[in-house]
Amino acid sequence: MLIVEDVTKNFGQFNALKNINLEFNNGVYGLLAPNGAGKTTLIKMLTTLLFPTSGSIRYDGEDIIKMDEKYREIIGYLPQEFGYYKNYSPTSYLLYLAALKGIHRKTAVARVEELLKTVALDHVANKKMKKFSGGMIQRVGIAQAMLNDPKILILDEPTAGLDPKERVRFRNLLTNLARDRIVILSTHIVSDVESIANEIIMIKNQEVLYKDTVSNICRKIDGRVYETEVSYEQTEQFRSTYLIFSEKQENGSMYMRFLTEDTSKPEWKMVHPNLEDVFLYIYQDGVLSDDQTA
Amino acid sequence: MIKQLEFKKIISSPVILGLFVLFLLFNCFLIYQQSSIRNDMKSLQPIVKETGTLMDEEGRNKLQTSYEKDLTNWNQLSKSKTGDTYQRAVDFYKPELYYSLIESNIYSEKELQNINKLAIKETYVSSIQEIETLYSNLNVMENAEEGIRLFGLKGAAAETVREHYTVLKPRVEELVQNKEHLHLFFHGKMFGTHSFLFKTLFGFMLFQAMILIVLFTAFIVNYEFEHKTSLVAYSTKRGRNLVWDKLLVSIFAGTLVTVTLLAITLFIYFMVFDYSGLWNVPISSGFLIELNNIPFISWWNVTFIQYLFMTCGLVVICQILFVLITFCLSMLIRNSYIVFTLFGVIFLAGLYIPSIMPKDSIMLLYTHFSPFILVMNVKKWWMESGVFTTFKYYEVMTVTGWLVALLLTAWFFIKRFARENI
Repeated sequence: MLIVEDVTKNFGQFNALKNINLEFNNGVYGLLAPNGAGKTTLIKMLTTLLFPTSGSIRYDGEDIIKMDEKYREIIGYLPQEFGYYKNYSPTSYLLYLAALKGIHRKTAVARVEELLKTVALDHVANKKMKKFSGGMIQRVGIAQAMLNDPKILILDEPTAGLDPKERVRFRNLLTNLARDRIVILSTHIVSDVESIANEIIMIKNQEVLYKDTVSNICRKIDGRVYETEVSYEQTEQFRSTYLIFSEKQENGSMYMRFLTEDTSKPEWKMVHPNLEDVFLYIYQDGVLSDDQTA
Repeated sequence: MIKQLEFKKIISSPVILGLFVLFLLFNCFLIYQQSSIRNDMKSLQPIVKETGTLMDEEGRNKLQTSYEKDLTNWNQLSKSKTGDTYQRAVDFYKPELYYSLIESNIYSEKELQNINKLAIKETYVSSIQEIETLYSNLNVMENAEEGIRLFGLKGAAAETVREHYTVLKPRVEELVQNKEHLHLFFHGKMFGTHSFLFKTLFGFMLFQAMILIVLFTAFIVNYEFEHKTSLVAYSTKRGRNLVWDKLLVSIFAGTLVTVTLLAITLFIYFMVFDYSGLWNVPISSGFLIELNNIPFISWWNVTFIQYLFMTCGLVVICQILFVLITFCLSMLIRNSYIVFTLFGVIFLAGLYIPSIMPKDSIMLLYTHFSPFILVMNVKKWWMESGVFTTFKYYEVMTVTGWLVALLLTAWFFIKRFARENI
């Protein structure tokens, strides 16, 4: 079990995270927050790349900093910006990282071959990576994170650059892996985690806002999400009155999905909220300010 | 395994490999340029074979007899050819006679080579007396006072210089007593082999190895940061201990590069210039004295071959110091280009600092205890080397002090890095 206890992280005067308390057991955890909310800071602390200003992170009761290489031996990590050596082939790069992970050469050779098959890169196993697409590089990154068969798999924006087919395959892979390990998946793309995460962690104002199942989180705005048709003339006024989640043009009018505290009107159809609705609701300030900035 | 892979990063760098080959070619070019004197240098080997290297009473008589015999033979030949005889072989080269003789092709190529060899032998013969006179009148305290006056030293600095030259004095007496100065060696004023080998060639090799070392140490230490793989690499089991591997690999590669550069260059040098029979000649031989007429007074009675190995050893240690300096800089600055530039600035500052020290301060002398000053004067390592660096253990003290200080600094940076946010 991985426990984050009262963790605060400051960078000089800037407070990136405060009093974070989390508990991870086997399963997939979706760390969901907009960019800049502190996801990467938390993840870097979970991988010992950053040290908490206060508080502690413990694995099976032992501080991960004190565990040192004993802890790092059981983690697999894919950073948001996955760097690689363009003149290396996936095989040679993975073998290099396997050496850093303390995997015996003979074991590593077989493991690399197996993983390259898993991420469908076996046909380019010995080709230099300089000609690889973003998606191919990301798959090398996923493979390296799994090299040591980690007990804790930490993935920061892992689906960036993957095409829809690869995303589906990746999600299935994670679901399989999560049966006997902790998988922490940080993303700002709701669909990445909605279907596979056992629990979602949402961070707002440097603190954990929710850590719950998708259905429980969605319940927070249950009974307040509607869909309706609005004529083009009324669109502007409708937008300024309600919190809009999505808009779609259909049959000469606008089809709106929105949230309101008002009493339901006959033309409104109440719908079950999804995770994206909650995400937009929670981070509406950020979304609005982002829009205004844009 | 990790160390092997780190080492592979260095040797697979085209810049490092390219420069290494370029430097070797340059050294070959330097040797080639100097190679015109190799045949004249070779004249010494038959002499040494005949008389031995020590020019004591016995050796000198043997050499004198041999020389006179050769001169008589030459005079017989010249008399039969031109009717001329020579008091000294060098008279043959007087311009008023020499050019007409050459133009008239009186002497064969072989005969001209013989007179050339004889003239060289004559130079050795006549040098012995000069050397004896020089050493019998040698007063190192006068040299110290001259240096003190020349550089305007005063107070504590001047006193310290006097103290150290006082320590050198008995060594000079010992050197003369041992007759170290009377051993035949390639004539310094004719060939300048000591300067070419230990100043030019070693000087270039030192800088070549230093450039390579600074480049690849900065390159390897910052490799992950410059390729954006630091997050992956430093979160692995090996984690930040990887910098220990990088330090050890840099030291190993630095040693390897230096030894290889020295080995190949010196191998070519000694293939071109024949030192057979002279390996065990004391380095303080008076025959080494070059045009500036300054004798080489080593602190210990060491032979040429011992001196060569001692110098090679010190070159390797100096390069390890440069590895450590670059490593420390790279732990501070995560950009190999800036590290390279900063190293250059520090090197120049190391050379410049002594010049701004007060002339009466002992600090003026202490600031000379730096690897930057040390590598600028390879030719005078392990011997009297001017007022600023004539300390018996100058080289050992400099490298030991810096080695300890830099190892501690490197250890501090590694420990600091272990707690650093990446």
